[in-house]
Amino acid sequence: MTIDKNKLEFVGKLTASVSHEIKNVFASIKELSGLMEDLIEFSDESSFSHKDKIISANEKINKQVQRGNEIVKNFNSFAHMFNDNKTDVNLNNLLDVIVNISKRFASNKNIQLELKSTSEDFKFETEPLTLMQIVFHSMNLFIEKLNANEKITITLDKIEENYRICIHSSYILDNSEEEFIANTNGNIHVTDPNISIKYLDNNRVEIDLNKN
Amino acid sequence: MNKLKVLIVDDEQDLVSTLGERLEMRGIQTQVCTDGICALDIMKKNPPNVVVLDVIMPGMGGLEVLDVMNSMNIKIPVVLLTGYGSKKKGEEGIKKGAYDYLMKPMDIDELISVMKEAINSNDPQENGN
Repeated sequence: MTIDKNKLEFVGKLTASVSHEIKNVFASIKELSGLMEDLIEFSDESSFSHKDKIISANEKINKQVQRGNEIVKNFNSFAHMFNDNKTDVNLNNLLDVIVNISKRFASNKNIQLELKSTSEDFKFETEPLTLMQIVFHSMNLFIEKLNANEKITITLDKIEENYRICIHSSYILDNSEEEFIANTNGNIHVTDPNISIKYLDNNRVEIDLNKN
Repeated sequence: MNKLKVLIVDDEQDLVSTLGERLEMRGIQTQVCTDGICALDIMKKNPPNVVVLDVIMPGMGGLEVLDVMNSMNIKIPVVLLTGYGSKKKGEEGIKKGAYDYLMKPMDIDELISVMKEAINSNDPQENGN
């Protein structure tokens, strides 16, 4: 399936704009919650009959704001990658976004996604949306087949001048490499010749990003 | 140090009024407005020590306000407020003379601390530090 480039950019732009607006809503809620906190802190002890309950409710509001903010932050970063042009992609950010967004799919099946991130910034010129699709497709393959309480680990390594993203499952699947590659190519139109995908030992996908 | 006077500019009415109230509770004199033109008017008539300025606003955005401040030689330190996708705009704002930028939703203690740093960086003697 190919998507019209202009439509993709249009969806990305709208999504980014909506997530920006939601962020403003969270910012306002956070300030209002902060004001409630201040009113209790700066007031006479006896003026609030349910002080502890108000503090506890306010802490829960803050926790939910934080949670919502993280979701929208990832969603906004995701929306900014809605283009199929080659660009300098921060691989750490890309993995962070796609792994966090996919956590919901994994947690529905009680599967854990673990991203072992690096502190170093790794950058690679590619089509961000295509790379995200490959990572998602690989994780999803394991998510669909694994049993509850299994784990998928995602790592990013620098190998000489190139990079490798590895998606490793704690459970051995029965797909062959041919099946996996055929399925990937059928679902994702990988046009970047610098990206190569390997499916190894029935429990590991290696996505090699080669700098020419 | 004289009483800190801050101007908060953001098109989110609830955000500026609540933030203003919280800063006032901490002894900071606060003026608020919801657009760039009104902000420039306040800067001319009743200049604050520091401006907290949202980057994205309808009409005149924070970066355009900075441009006008530069062209009119208004030397008030500015702390920008940005969203997740606007990090680049925050950096652009620093190039235009803003002291720093904070991502929304921000923490009030961090905001106060950056506001004070901005004032001190602008004129350490005037602020007694």
